[in-house]
Amino acid sequence: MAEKTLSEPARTFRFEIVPEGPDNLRLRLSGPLDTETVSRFWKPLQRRLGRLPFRSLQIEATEVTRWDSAGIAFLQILRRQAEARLKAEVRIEGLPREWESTWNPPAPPEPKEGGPGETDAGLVGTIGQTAIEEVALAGDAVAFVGRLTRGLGAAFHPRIFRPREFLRVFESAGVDALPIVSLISFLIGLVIAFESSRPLATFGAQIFIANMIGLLMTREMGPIMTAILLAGRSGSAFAAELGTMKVNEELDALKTMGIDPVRFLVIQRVIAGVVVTPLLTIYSMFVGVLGGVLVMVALGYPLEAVYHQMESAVRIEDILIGVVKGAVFGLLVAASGCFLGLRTRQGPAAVGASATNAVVTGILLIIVADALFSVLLYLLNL
Amino acid sequence: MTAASDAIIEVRNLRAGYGETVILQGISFSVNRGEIFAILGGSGSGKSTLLKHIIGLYPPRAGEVRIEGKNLVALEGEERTELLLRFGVMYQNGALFGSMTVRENVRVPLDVFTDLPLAVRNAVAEAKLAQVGLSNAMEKMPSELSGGMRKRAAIARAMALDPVIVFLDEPSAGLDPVSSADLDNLIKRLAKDFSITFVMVTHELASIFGIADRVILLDGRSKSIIAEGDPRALRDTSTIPLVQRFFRREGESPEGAATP
Repeated sequence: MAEKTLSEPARTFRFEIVPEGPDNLRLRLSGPLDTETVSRFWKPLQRRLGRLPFRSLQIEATEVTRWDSAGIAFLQILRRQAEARLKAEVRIEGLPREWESTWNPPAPPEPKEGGPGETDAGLVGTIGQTAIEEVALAGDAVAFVGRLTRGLGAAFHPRIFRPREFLRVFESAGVDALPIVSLISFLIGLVIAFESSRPLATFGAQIFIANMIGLLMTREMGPIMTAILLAGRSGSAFAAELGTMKVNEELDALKTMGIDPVRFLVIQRVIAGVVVTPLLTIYSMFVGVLGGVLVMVALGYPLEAVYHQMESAVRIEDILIGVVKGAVFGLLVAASGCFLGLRTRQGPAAVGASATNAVVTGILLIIVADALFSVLLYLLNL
Repeated sequence: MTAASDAIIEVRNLRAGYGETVILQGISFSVNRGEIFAILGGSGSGKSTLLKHIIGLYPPRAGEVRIEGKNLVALEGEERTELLLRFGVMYQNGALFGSMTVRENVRVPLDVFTDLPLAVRNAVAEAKLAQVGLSNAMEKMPSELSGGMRKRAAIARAMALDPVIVFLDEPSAGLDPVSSADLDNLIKRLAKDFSITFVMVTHELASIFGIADRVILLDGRSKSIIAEGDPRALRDTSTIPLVQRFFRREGESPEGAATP
């Protein structure tokens, strides 16, 4: 069978459906049966064949001048449809030898005995599976908290703690976050001031913008915005770093060296999170207040009046509450990021999934913890 | 197989697997002190799974593994650490810690488990790296090394605390024939000079015939050991078709019949 070039007139594909006897059809093909012709004749041919009832279909392909994988796949689909729809028999003649193994693929090897394969678990099965996984997750989380607590002693063992690694994490989670924390906090302060200025103006109480900014930035927005940024920047980074180490078998290497990965890798990150978040929180409070004050000055209040108003509104306790919140949020974000990193499954996609999961979990924990703080502080009259 | 006095690793009736899936069962063999022992098998036959169970990363589903007479997964605390320090592991891609230089990588076990002064720890790391021919790459980061160098660095790290056994997971995977042969020679030399027992997982025929004293051949279908002994003798005398095919690099014949 000579290969025809594109320029030749034989470049036209034709098909013909010839009824032979009551139940038999013959499909006569000529010209090239390849990617190009299949994409053009796919629909008309299917439409024509789909209307006809038949028991057996004989595909005559002796006149086909060119074959490729698309052509064979196309005929295979025709065969599969005929077999499924009409229980019809499909035969082919004139198929080149080299394509025979594609047309009749070898049977897949017998499944291995033993363990259950990838079976569809069904709805109940899926619910059960998910429940088991969630319980396992909760169990692992409790165990992780235990290992973390026990591993805290490592902080006083400089060779396991590796101060240089701690400083590296501290720098990337803290110092490198300063620009973004500045921008976000400044704008938050600005927005709060602007948004509250109009409603307060109706009561002639615009001076209370100062109270609003002072209390919101110190008790709520400062720690929350800082912690959310930490979750996005560092929680995900911790999960990705530890996840990559797991995929590279580095965690296995630590285990067979007799070194607990929690003591070797997690402790510095968690301590860095707990130390750096309150510091960033204080900074965020300051910059946020600055943004708000700027708006008040623009609204015509003298700086001195704003200062006195804020001084009367914000107590030192409010700042302390924000700092404590920051420490707790930092702990939650860093620990959950590391925990999810250590739980990474196999494969490169798993690292991305862990990083995403760390951000979502981190933010969720921040908000839940903040709600608990609100209730607690209300009850404590703080 | 009786527990000879020179058996350093004994695996008895091990059933290995993850989750619900059983990958190997009824595995029994022992490794003698000072030999280069290879675990062979086709892809998916459970070689790496067996290795991970031997080094205690996964607990056996049944049976037990004894290293120097001790059952690793049953030990805790100090005793466990002590046994872990008796062996080193080279993982398939080296598993070097990416944030540390090669020298620091080799130093990690020394840093954690010894009270030696830094100068001595550094000197030990340098000596280990010199043994594997990496004296000029000590200050490099793992990402700057070639595949073969990474594996050699990993061997140096595995040997940092002078272990009696070194496990190697696919030492020649992804290496060109020359680097692979270099690595084989290195293993042979280390085994001879320091009488270290090497247990390696491989399917590289050149290494098997070149350096392995004894092998076991795993079969994924029966999930068990189908041959054990000297690799050259197995190649020349085994009558089991699967063993023949493995050692002669023959694929399954298209008809599915065993090769004559």
